[in-house]
Amino acid sequence: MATNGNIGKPDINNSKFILYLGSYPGHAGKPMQAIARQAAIASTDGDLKFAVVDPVMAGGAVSPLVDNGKWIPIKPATDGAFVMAMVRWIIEHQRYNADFLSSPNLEAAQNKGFNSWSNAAHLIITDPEHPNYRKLLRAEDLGLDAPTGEDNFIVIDEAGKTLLYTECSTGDLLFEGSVEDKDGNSISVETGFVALKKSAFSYKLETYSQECGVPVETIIELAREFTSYGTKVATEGLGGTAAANGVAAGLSHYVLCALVGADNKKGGIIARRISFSKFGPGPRYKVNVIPDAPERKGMGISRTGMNYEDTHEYQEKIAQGEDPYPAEMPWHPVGNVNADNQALFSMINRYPYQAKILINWMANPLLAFPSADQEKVIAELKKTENLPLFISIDAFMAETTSLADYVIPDTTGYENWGIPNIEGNFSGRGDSVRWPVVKPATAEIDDNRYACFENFIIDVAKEIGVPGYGEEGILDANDNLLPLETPEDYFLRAITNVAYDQDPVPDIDDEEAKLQDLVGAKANWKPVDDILQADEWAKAAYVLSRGGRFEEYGAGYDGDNRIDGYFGCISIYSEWMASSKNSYNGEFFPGVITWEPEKFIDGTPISDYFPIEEWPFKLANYKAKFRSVTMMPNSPTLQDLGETNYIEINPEDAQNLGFNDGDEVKLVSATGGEVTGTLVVRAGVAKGTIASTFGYGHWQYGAESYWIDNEKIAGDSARGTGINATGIGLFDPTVDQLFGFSESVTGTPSRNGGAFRLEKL
Amino acid sequence: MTTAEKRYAMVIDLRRCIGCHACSAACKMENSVPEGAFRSLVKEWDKGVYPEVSRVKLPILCNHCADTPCISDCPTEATYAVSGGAIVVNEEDCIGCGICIEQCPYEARYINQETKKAEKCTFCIHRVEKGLMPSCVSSCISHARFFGDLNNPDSEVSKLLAEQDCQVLKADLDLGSQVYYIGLKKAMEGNRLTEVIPG
Repeated sequence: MATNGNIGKPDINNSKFILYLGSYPGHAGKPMQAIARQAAIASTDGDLKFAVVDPVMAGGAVSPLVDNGKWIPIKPATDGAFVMAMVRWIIEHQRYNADFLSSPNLEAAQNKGFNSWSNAAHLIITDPEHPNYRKLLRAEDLGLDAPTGEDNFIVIDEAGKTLLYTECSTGDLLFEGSVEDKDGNSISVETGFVALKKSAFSYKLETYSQECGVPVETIIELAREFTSYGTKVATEGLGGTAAANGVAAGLSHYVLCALVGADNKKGGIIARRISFSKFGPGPRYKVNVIPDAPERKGMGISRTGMNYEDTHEYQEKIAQGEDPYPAEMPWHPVGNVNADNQALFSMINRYPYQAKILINWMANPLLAFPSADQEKVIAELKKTENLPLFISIDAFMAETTSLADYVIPDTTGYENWGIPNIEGNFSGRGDSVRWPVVKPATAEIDDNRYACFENFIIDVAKEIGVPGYGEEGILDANDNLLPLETPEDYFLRAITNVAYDQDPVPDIDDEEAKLQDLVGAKANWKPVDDILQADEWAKAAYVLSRGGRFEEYGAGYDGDNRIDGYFGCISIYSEWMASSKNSYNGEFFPGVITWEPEKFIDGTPISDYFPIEEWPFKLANYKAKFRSVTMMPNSPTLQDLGETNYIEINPEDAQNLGFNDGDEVKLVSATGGEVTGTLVVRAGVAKGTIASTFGYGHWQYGAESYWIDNEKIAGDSARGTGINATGIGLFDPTVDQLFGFSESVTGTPSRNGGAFRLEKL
Repeated sequence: MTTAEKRYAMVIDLRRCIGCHACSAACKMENSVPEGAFRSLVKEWDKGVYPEVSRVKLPILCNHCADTPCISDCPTEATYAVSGGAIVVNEEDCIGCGICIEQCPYEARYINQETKKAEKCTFCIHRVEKGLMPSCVSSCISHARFFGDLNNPDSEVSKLLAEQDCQVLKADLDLGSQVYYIGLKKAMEGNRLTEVIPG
């Protein structure tokens, strides 16, 4: 939820208990290596306990030799039921941290030893007749004086007095009743916490347990553990719970950690991407600060992060007296406008508008997006009436790139620059950097400039006259405009900012520069003297030589508190979500997390269309060890280690079907797609689950031959092994257009869940 | 390069291994191991009865046995132990007969199809002699592998053997294996319900 900022990741080294829900320590994660090392060592030598709640046991840090780490199997796409059961038990048994939750602002929470705050005690307007129904109550609703231009939320203190949230140190967490405005009108309200409690109490633990397949006693054990170590607990989740009902699981990470006040605490949740100044107005250069830059405007094509009610379509229907619902295609008001999976389905349906040019950079949507790897979708993407011009910038002849009108060759990690974010599991401030250690294998377009994404962007921008590129490209700290003609013009200056931020780093010594062959590497770049000031290179090189700049291991704390973090409000109640509507049935979305089974966009449970008797399996699409989502089938070493992937099921399911390990089977999706593969029967797969890794099932990426001008690049069938199970994910049958089954609030695709069956070949 | 004869050994802490195969890949690159072959690999299998299931990760390599059939049965004496006990193959003397491959109880050898010679793990002796760790040790992301001299009581491996309950694979063969595992006994308990292929 964007309103919760980029909160962070478990502080594994100092934590006592971590719940992994949608990520897997030692098997995947960002960064995989640091998480693996910390989790394996802390659970073996230290006293860290952890649980991985996942449909698939993938090994990693889970071992029969480590009693502190356990795998808990769960049915795919039922994580919401599991977390609501935990929330219910924690509230019912008063295991939540009331001191934290009743603190309605940061200062109040910090005075009680916490280092974050939530809106659990803030009041919500529950009166359907009120114009601000479902919004948080504000001073303006009561006619109270309050600062203008700010969100003046209201709480009730322990004495029953109505106060601005900033003026109250302890709010009444459990208030439910009415307040009076200055004219004496009564407004019915409840706190965010009460709303959460009501949602959690909608079902019994036994019901939640039946839905998710995790026994009640296991749920209680995990909830008890999670609430047994104060703020030294954390949760982590990545895409592993991505499902068409995955919003509750995604948001549960904020809610569970807020129930114990773990954010920004040592051993709790620590913020990621805490970096030195690199972009923006840095100490030496103002990288990305572009005078007279054109404003980004217009409507994103993704139908996501936007309200259907703000569209012309809606307004025209209203003007003509029509029922505005359903929309022509689904809108996902609380998601991110950059939702590329939704953009794909918009483009092939020319809705909400026709795409004119698609520029793809190293992405491979056809393999990456659920439901996309099917003939029907590919055929639509090929049609020029849907997509008149398609340019792909790629280092590989990937599946999506193979359909492009033009392919711009790009470089790989050894040939190019980068300043990737540090994604957590490091408490200090840091930036990693990557510099080209070899000359790019792509064409030299002019002196020391090679075909790649950056040069394409620079040259196109110069050609069409976009500010911020060319001779007057980048501002230095004194507002002199310097050239941006090459990737190194950009990256070396950003890296110089990193070197000079706070206390500048030392100069590199000559011996070290020689050892790293920075001298040799430099020969392939634009002359550094033309980019940096004379004294800057020795410091930039110091950062390059170390692969980045990092504070001391273990830095970043002030006592028990993490210094940097997200200090905005953690939303137990999301006003944004609560005041947004489903674009098909016009119903409000819940403002707190809640359990819902998978439903199509019009609200029909998918089991109404596809009964479980006929479609007994849900898909768990998980990370392959030796592949990324779409990359790396071209490595011979990784091919040796992970030749192919499989269709994996639980032994009891295999027995019921009369199937055996090694059988050739067909996986059939309820809306028509199918793939065939080899069955693996193993105990580490939850019942009712088809487990299959992503990253396999390539039909391009060098698996097939292709031609560059008159040169045939021969295909290598070893790159095309295995299946892409998520590619045959469901289409939504309640949408007229070809539309991949998605979560209604945020547009998250159905990577897990759905409705499938297995047939023996 | 101090006093007595060295005795190299490896200790692998099975509790820490997470099965990432960084060792397998690093070994292939360090030693130019041909496609389809491995000198170092991690075997994995699911252990337990649903829903109480976990995963054994068992790194395997040449055990550099003190008393080994690959030396005694080699018809050309191509296989021999270098200083420190690491067992290597002299490529010039190897005739590629494959007897050592059949005799090795740890399945740790293969024929390089290009050279038609037997190849195997050398404990990365070319690195060790320069003061580096074997590549599988220095690439281990979870610090599960340790390497050193058992004749030095202060070495990490000597201390681990003294402090931890370590076992060797196929101890009943009594070949004098120099690859020790922490947690092997528990890892090998019970039936292997499922063989899991890496990946």
